[in-house]
This record gives sequence, C-alpha cells and structure tokens, in this order.
Amino acid sequence: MALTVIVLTRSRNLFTVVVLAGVYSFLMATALVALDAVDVAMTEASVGAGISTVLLLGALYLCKSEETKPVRKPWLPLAVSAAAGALLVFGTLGLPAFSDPAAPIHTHVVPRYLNDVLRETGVPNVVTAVLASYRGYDTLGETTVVFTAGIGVIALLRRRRKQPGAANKQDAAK
Amino acid sequence: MSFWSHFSYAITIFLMVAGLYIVIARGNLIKKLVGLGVFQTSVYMLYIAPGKLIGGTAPIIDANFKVYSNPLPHVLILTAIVVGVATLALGLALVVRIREAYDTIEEDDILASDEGEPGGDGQRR
Amino acid sequence: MSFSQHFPALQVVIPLVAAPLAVLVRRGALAFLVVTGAAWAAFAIALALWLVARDGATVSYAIGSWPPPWGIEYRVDRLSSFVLLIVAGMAAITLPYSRASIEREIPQELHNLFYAMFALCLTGLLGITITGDAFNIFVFLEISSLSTYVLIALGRDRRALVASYQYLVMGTIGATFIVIGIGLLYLMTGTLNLADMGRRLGEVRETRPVLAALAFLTVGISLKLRCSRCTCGCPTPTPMPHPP
Repeated sequence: MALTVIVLTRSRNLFTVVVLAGVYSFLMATALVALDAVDVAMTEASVGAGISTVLLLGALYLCKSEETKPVRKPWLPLAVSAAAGALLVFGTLGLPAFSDPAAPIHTHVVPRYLNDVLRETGVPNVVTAVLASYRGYDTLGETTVVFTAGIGVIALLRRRRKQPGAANKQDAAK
Repeated sequence: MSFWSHFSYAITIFLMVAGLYIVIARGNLIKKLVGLGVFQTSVYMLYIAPGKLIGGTAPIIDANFKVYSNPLPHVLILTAIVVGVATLALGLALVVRIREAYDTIEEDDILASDEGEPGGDGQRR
Repeated sequence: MSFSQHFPALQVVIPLVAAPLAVLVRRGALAFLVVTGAAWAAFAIALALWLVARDGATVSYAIGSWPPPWGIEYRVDRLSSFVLLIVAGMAAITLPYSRASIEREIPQELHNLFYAMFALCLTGLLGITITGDAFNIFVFLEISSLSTYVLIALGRDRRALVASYQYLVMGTIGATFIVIGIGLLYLMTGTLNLADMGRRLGEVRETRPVLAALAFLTVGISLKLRCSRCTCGCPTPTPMPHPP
C-alpha cells in the first residue's frame, strides 16, 4: 500500500494516477477485512474503488490526461505535511496499545450495543443496527450530504448537458 | 509499549503525510483531489485499527463467538467514506467547469491567466 | 407528548425538508417562497427555544428515543439557543432582500437550485449548533460546507470557480483535521456525546493524545473559519477572487 502511494506521488500521467488510486482503495479494503471491518471494506471497495474511479475517469475524459508542470519547490509542502505527521506521532504515542481490551472505546459505550442489540433492535449485524437505529440521524445527515453534492453537480454542469460525461457524473453522484 | 503495538498508527501517519504532500505540492487540480482522497483514507485506519481485538470476529452476533471487534468506529467510517465521495464528485464538477472557463487544469496557468484581468490582483494560495 | 417538545428536531428538519421541495417545485419564485417560509419558521422555533433556555434550563432531545451516550442527543442550552437565534434570524432577514440580487447574478433556470442550497447551508449551520454529538457535528459541517462551495461557484465571474475549488480543498483538509481530532478524543474517552465526553475528559486531561486532539481541532476549525466566514449568511454568492 505504501509502495502504491509512493508511485502515486511520483507519477505524472493522470490515467496512471487514477488506476493507482483504485488499486490503493482495494488494498485499503483488504486491510479493513483483516481488521474485522467487513461492512466498511465492502463500502470502500464499491465506493472508493468503484464510484470514485468512474468519476475520475469521467472527469479525465473531459480534461486532458497529462500533468504538464513539474513539481515546484517541494520543501515547504513537505515541511508542512511532516509537521502535521509529527504532531500525530506525538499524539498517538500516548494512545492505548493495539488490541488492548481495557481501552476506553471497548469499555464505555459499546458493551450495550453488543449485549442488547438483539433484544432492542432484532438485527444481528451490530454495524447495521447502530447505523440505522442508534445513530440513524448520522445516516440521514450522510444522505443529505450526498443530496447536496448531487444538486451541486447538477447546478454546476446544467448548462452543458449535451456532453455525455456530465450525465454520467450526475447519475453516479446520486 | 513495543513498536508493533503502534504499527497501525505508523501506517496512518505515513498515508496522511503522503496525501497532504500531494495536495499541497502538486499543481494539477485532479491530482490534488486524488491526494485529498488518500489523506481522507488515512483517517479510516486511525478509527478502525484501534477497534480490532485479536481473537475477535466481525461484529455480527452469533452464539459461537464471544469476542467482537468494536462496531462504533465502523459506523462512523461508513459515513465518512460516503461524505468523501460526495466531496470528490463536487470537486470534479468544479474542475470540469474550470477547464471550460480556463482551458487548463494546471494551477499555475490559471493564476497566470487571471493576472491579466482587471481586479485579478494575483491570487494567494 | 406536546408539539413543543419536538422543537429541537424541527429546528433542523424544517430547512432540511425545504431543500428537496425547492428542487421539486422547479420555479424560482415558488422555491423562494418555500425557503423563505422555512427560514422564518426556523427563526420562530429558535425564538421559542431561546425563551425556554434563557434562564439556564437545558433542553435535551434524544433522537430516536435512544438515551444520550448511545444515541444522538440534541442539546439546547443558553449559549447554543442564542447562536441558533442569530443564525436563523440572519437567514430569515437577509433572504427576502436577496431576491433582487439573485435575479441579477444567477441564470433563471438555476434559481430553485440556489434556494435549495441556501436551505441546506442553513440546515448545516443550525445542526452544528444544536447537536450534542461530536461526529454529528462533522456531518452537518460537511452539509453546510458543500452547499457553501456551490453557492460560491454559482457566481458569474469565472474566478469564482477557482475560489470555490480552493475553498473545497482547504475546507476538506480542515474537516479531515477535525475528524482526526474527534477520533483521538474518542479513542481516549470512548464516547461521542459531548457532555459525556466532557465528564470523562477530566480523568485523562493533560495526556498526549488529548493535547494533540486539541491541536488538530484548532487547526481544522481555523481552516474552516477562513473558508466560511465570508459566505455564511451572505445572501448573494459574491464571487470572491481570493481567500480572505
């Protein structure tokens, strides 16, 4: 995965970039399966590797596919991102160790989900139950975000409806 | 505290730095959006990895298993993935419009073509 | 269950429902009426909530009737009721006057979409203020910022497109920083409810993840502020050539 990202950073052909981004998404999905997050992995594989790639290819079709300019002074951006990374290193060093059952996230809110989910909602998949019932309002918000983006894409591209790429994008965004 | 106990965070941080670097350093508008995607993806690892319990299974209730991974981060990241894709779609629509208006998707060329206009007093990044 | 008990939910849901309605009616003038009506209704509800919360009473509304640390909670206290009043009031007062400038700035067929975006932006801002859940803040933040990007890009000037793109990139980086901050806080406290988190933070105060979370939240919110301060509540999509 790290290798993919490094090649992604170096590559200048945008088509290569898009394909590599898809590869990266699939690798991420594999890692998520290894971490027991099957629902997230499924979403990442379909949305991250599927829809995103289609959207990017649609946009590439409408634009040219070669990055012409070389990288400008790379040191300032590198310094900024390294600083953010260093801050995150500083923060994560104090977190509970990997797979520590006594960590706060495993002891505080979640036990009720795991113990009572069958009695309270009747859905054996806890992720589904939390998504649709306990935190259903987040999901409404998420749908609204997609609605916003869909309307936004329509508003931006309406005047050029004749070209096929635009219609394609609107469908995918919905 | 060993090196391996925080290995997942190291992955997160590497991905985040790489993504942020692409966003800031590259001038191509589409490539910036790809970098933004990598940057957002790094957060998924930050949320999901701590929820894993070694010996646990996916959080689907079944009589044969006793230990489950934490389901709450999964829910949050499902939401985050969809939000990320919505942002990507909107960004790409903007890029298509920019390409029509300026006939280029390189940031430097756009800045250069704006400087000739009245009131276009050179954009800052 | 009396009607007024549901005011916290209605506060956000009324503008939210107004947005698809405005898209469906297709006529600019009708959409204008729908959204203006929703904005004034939201203002009236904010006023009612403010009258309740003025003396320090806290209104708590559990969405879907799940008790707070497990479900999502809406909390209206003295401060948030006042901010709700300001946001809804600004939208309600500026919207009627924006009609003329929108006629000038935006092509006729996009008027209903513009008003839908305005309603969504209002939804997002009200939602950020009223919610008592950390991740819910992020969701509403994205609703308001995505709609703001579109509002900016609808202007006639082509530089508005570039400005909007730059807002989108900066805003997304800011939002991701905020998510990282929320994630660190969640990993340390195990809860997403803000009041609950505040109680449990006392035990882990001054640890490194909490300090880093604070830093990420500060940077993220600053980036967001830089993005949105010129556009929130601003009725016309003034083309802004460069970040302030």
